[in-house]
Amino acid sequence: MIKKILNNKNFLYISRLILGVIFIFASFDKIIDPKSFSSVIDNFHVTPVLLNNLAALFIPWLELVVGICLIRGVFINGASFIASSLLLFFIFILVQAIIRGINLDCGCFDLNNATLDESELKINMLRRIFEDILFLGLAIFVNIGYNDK
Amino acid sequence: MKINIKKIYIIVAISLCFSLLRYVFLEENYPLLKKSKLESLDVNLNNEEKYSLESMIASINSPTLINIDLAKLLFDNSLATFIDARDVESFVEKHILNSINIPYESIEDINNDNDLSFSFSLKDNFFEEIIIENNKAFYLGIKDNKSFIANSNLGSTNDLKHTTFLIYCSGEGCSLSEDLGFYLNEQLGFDKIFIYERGIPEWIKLGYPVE
Repeated sequence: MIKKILNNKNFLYISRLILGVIFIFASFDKIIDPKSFSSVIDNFHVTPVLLNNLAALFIPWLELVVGICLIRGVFINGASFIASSLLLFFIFILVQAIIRGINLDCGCFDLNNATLDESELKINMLRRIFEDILFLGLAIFVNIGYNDK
Repeated sequence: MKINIKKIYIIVAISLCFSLLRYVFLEENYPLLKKSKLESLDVNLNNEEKYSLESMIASINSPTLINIDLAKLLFDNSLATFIDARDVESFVEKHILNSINIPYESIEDINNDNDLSFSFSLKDNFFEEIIIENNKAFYLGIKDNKSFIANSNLGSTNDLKHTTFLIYCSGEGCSLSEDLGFYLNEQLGFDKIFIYERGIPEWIKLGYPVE
């Protein structure tokens, strides 16, 4: 059954496109405003502050390049591996934020979150974790399903 | 998982090149290595040590991180103006007693309307009445070479009593207080600034005065 799904070219193709579009879409805001993204990274309290500006400059471009590779169908194994690593990292930082009770509602994480109360925020973060796990599944699926020439 | 190291290197290298290009074309000041600007001050004082508290304040010249004990001492001894850096809705809902609301998000609008940096650079006596989103006004300016922020009009000597500021927002994970602190320090020249990082959640939890 799993082998059948893995061998389904259409399903693989659609998964690759979905993942590519998501990565490209996610990168735009961060590329335009790296300073705000750096503040977002600060708020998670997981990486050294010293490196956050560098990360905020580099990660969005990595997402964009990975997204383009996935859509264009080049370097698929490499791109999907990086996508999986990034998603694992995102899941980790979201989970630790919830466990440590870090309040990300300060108008600097996501302006749309500014009016949410604490329980809504938590649900919002859990939803993001769930989405990331789903995308991680897609990325692994794409990685296994394709063979770079 | 299939790991193609060569392809990963290529993707990373391309991303690095674009990041570098983006950095070159960034208009704003964006240091590659971010300085952890806040110095932490961890002191245990009691109310009797007001004198040492004042001398400690005198030694501060950049935004400094403080804990709840020192924040409460500053509050009890009326040694600082408390500034809430959150948005107006959060401030109206609940804030530390007698604090002033300066939402960091509105700073750009305030600056565009009043050109505060320029006024402050003149180091001349002036004050601006600032009203944010129909919220209570506050006053900001310089008198006798001292920068001040006050929540009532000039004229009363109380307005100039505080040239020390404590900025807070919604606790750990919120950087608005730090951002506002560094804005006031770097752009407007305020030097006695404390950042109370744990902010309003801890203050409320301990049952300290709010309104």
